[in-house]
This record gives sequence, C-alpha cells and structure tokens, in this order.
Amino acid sequence: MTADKPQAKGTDRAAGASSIALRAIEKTFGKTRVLRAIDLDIAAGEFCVFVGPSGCGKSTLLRVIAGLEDVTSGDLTIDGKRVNDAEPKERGAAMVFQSYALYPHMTVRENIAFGLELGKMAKAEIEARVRDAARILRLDALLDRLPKQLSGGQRQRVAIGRAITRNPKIFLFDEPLSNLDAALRVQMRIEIAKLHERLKATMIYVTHDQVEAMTLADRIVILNEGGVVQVGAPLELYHRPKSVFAAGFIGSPRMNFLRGELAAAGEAGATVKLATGETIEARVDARAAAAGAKVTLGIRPEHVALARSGEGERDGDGDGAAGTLRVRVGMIESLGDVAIVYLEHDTVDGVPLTVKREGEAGAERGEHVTCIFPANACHVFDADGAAFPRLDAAR
Amino acid sequence: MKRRATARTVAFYALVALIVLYAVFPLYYAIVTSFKSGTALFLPDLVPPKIDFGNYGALFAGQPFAGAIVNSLIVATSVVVVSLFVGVTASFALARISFRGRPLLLVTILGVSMFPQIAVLSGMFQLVRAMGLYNTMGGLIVSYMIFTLPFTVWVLTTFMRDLPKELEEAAIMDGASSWTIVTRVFMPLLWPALVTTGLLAFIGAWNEFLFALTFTLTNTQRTVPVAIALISGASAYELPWGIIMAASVVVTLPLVVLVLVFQRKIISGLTVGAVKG
Repeated sequence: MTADKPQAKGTDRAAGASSIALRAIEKTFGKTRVLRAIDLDIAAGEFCVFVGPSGCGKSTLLRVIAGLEDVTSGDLTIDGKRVNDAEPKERGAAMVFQSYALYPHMTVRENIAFGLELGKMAKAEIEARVRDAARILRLDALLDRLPKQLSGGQRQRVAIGRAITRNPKIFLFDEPLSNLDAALRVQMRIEIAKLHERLKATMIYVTHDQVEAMTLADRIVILNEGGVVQVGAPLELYHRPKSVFAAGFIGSPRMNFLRGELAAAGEAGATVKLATGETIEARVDARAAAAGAKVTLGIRPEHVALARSGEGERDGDGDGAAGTLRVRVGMIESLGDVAIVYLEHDTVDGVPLTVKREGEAGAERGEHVTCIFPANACHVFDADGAAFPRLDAAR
Repeated sequence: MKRRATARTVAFYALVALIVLYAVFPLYYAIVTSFKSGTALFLPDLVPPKIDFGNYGALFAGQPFAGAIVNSLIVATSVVVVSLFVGVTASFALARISFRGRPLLLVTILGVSMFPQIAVLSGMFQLVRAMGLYNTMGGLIVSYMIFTLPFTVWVLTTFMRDLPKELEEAAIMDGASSWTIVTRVFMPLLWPALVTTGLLAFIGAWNEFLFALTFTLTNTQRTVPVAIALISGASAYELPWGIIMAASVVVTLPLVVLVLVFQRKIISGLTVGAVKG
C-alpha cells in the first residue's frame, strides 16, 4: 500500500528541535520601547514559558521570534543562524494563536492541509500527515466540518493540528487556552504537555496563567515592562525569587510583603524589625547589607503558621517572641481543601496579611491569633527589591 | 389598543404598496407600452389590448441594437473584473499595510468620486484621445473606473479591515505570500462584498450615458443607453416609442435577473461589516 510509506514518515517525528538565542533584542513601536535588552537562550527541545502582567511584552517577544514583528536592534539566532531578516516560513516555526485563527471557509482537513499545500507537498503525503495529526489530536471524526461547527476545545485542537503537520522545530503558543473554560483548560494543558513529550520540539508558550506556567514549563521567563526579570525552573522561581516582582508574580495567593528594617545582618541570617515593631528572623545571607537598612520581608501565605492564642495566652501586643505576630482574624475563605485567612495586619500592597491553611481555617473571624513566620521560609528584599540569597531553600 | 395596532398595520402596508407602486410602475408601463404600436401607444391603457412582439422584432431587425448589447456586456463585465481586481489588491494594501500617507490616500480616492461627471468630461476626453482610446470600448472601460473604483476600494477596504489580523498572520506562518493570502484566505471571506460592489459597478457601467455618448462615435462601439437614445423612427419627426420601450425592457431585464440572483448576497454584503472567524 502506498499510504504506508508516508505514514511511516509522518510518524517519524525526529525532525528535531531548534535552539534559539536572543542577544540584546530591542523593539520599539514609534516612541514606545516594548522590549528592552532581552538576552535569552532557549535550548533545543525545551518547553519555555513567558509570563508577565498584561503589556509586559511577552506576546511581542513571541511574535519577534515568529517573525511577525521585526526587531529594532539586537540579534536573533535559530540553530546558530542569524534570522533577523528571515521570513517566518524560513524559521521553521509554527504558531498557535489565542483566537485560533482558523480559516472560516475551509474544513478542518483543509485548514490543517493549507500550509502543506502551499509547500507543494505531494497529495498522498499531505493526506497521510493530516490523518496523522488528526489521530494524535482525536479530530478524525471532524475532518469535514467547518470551524464554526466546532466547540472551543475542538477549534484549539485544529489550530494545534495545523501547527504540527509541518513538523516544525519550534512551536509558538500565544495564550492558547485563555478562551477556554476552566475544565477544558486543564484538559488541554495536559494534552499540550503530552504533545511536547511526544514531538520533542522546542516550545515557547506565552501565558498570564501561572498554573499553566508552573505545570508546563521546563523553564519560566518572567517579563516586566519589556525586560526579563528572572529566568529559571518553576520551582526555582518559587523558592528563590530574585526580586520582589518575581516573588509576587509566582505563587497564589500572592506572597505577603511587610516593610521593615534590618536589626542585624550577617552571613547566617538576618533579623528584621517590622514597621509594626515585631522582630522576625530570616535565614538569608545578608552580608551585603548593614543593620538599619530598609528592607521588605516576604513570606508566602502557605508558609505562615497560625496558633490559636487560647493556651499560652500572652497579652500585650508588640513584643511577641521572634518570628511571631499577634493579629486579629478578618475574612476567611474556605475552599474545602484549603482555607485562606486574611488577618488584620496591613502589608506593603495594602492588602491584608494572607495565610493559606490546609483543610479548615482553624480560627474564627474576630479572634486573636499568633502567626508564626518560620525563619527558613522568609524572604528578604533590599530597598531596590533585590532578594538576599536564601540559605535553606529547596534546591 | 388592538384597533390602534390594526390601523398601524394597515398604514404600514399602504406605505409599502405605495413604494412598490412607485418603484415598479414605470417598468410595468414600459412593458405595457412595448407591446403596443401605432396610435395605441398614446392611449393610457394599464393592460395592453393585445400582446404584440412587433416592436421587439423591429428593435433587432432595424436597429444596430444586438451589437450594442454585446458592447455593453463587454464594457460592463470588463469594468467589473478590472475594478474588483484593482479594488481587492488596493484595499489589501490600504487595510492591511500601514504606510505613510494612507489616510490621505483614502480620502483622495473618495474625493475622486465627488466630481460630477460633466466636470471631468472635457479632461477625460483629452485623456481618452491621448491614450488613443477614442471611439473604442477601451476608452469607456477606463473612464468608468472613475466612479466604480472609489466605491469598490472603499467598501472592500472596510471589509478587509474587519477581517481578524490573526487570520493573516496564521497564513503567514503557514508560508503564504501576500498574493496567496488575498486570493485564498481573504477573497473567499469577502464574497458578499465582492458580489455587492461588482454588481453595483456592473449596473453603473451598464447604465452610463454621458461618457458613452461622448467617447464613442460609431455604432460598432456604442453601448445600450446611447443606442436607445439614438433609435430613430421612419422620419425625423417620429419618435418610435414602442421600440424605445421594448429596448428599455430588454436592457432592464438582465439587471433585474442579476439582482434577484444575488439578492441574498447583496443584503448580507451591505449589512454585515464583520466576518467572524
């Protein structure tokens, strides 16, 4: 059978992956600098996720790599070849758009085959590849439908199908799941992870959803105001954020930030005196700073422990033992598996101090509780927002 | 309450009837007249006394009318084809590529259509002569672009602008050239607009009289409106109303048929600005 050969070829997806290097990439639109001095290396086969708040330039960066936008200055190389001026099709990349961007007048089959037809591929080969993609993405039964007859998740799969048939060495995803409902998003997320495992191509994925970033990425690139804030593995970013911005961006609910100044600073730890008077020990290397320096103390809501003050009743706020704070409980959100407790103690952002507890809240609204900041869970940032290295963090 | 609703319905349909009468009666009267001959022409009958196709026979036998119809078809069809081609390509640039002076260019294009025909007539005459197109259908095709192109370009630009940008970018990522994007991605989505603008260009070119009269000299090059105007009777003092009406009916029917065939598309073309993916 003639179909066997292209079929075999289609399954052979060792087409490979490309490595990408960005050197001092700048992009301006008129007078606005959208990307500034971006240096980034993406290894072949890596799953790299760009995250950041709206307008941070993450989509623009993706489009620059795709070739849909020119760079203003800097060098973009793919597999060691400078591609600043190369056409998108010469870069061996395929892109999945947020709005899917399926051709409305073409059937699923035609949508998937369009790029291959333009590449003047033989009919039998196209048919084989389309079937291959349809099988991977479970679109077999939908090949003759029009996009308007498909659900959101199906459309998304067609968009991915259109990308994979050309065996690209780079996949670019621009917030591909943001138009889907929550349940479908989880399902598609898993499918994309499987796809990466199977195709082993380099994937770059833009999202503002940190769950997608944490679960999919080999490496996360946090962007803000057009620049790279931090690059690292998901857990590295979680445990060792290098700045207040990175610390606040990864993790949900957000990390608590409290203003204070260094009471003592050394190689083996720092003592922070909060603006409200309490002193907190933190296991960070604070050699770089001197006592008296203004700092921000950060602690994730899931790392704060709560003790009901029923037993060792200590009246008189203010001078609790090191690492503890006596506060009143405000709002409580019980989600069943976890409870979010908001305490009446202001943080830097003006939001209440937040504590995340497994199971039930274990406290009641209006009650005074002691919250404990374990020294090895505390982050300390200097006045410019840069973190002091943590001593006991995982990894 | 109910009475008022009834009264409103009656008033509504009376108005509709009036509009239909206003629009259709001239055509109907032309048809009726075209079946009459001799002194019957001047009797205001609403129903022809007998159906007589004599005028139609005389129209094609005694006048160079068949040739004029062919000429009109050639001119109008060429105008449609050229306008749509230029319109689609120009609107792709105007809607999709941002370049310096684009708004000015758009306004200029619109400005061209503001001049009354008579104002450009003499200049156009010189131009047509200079191009060596005087007394050819080519001269008519070129001059008709004056009023078909601005309209075509504007309507298509509006439509093209509403097509999602991602669609174009997806095609670029698929390796499509601009030409492929226009012909294989955008044109299929622009069908309603193409049909609407094409049809209006066709009607415009089909009905045009002033340029057709001025830029042609001989019967072999004349189009239908001029041919009808020049239909002559047995003597200089006789206007052959029957034949003229027969000619009017003959040239109107193709338009009616065209509009009926494309009616659906025209409506969606005029009302739906956006093509959703």
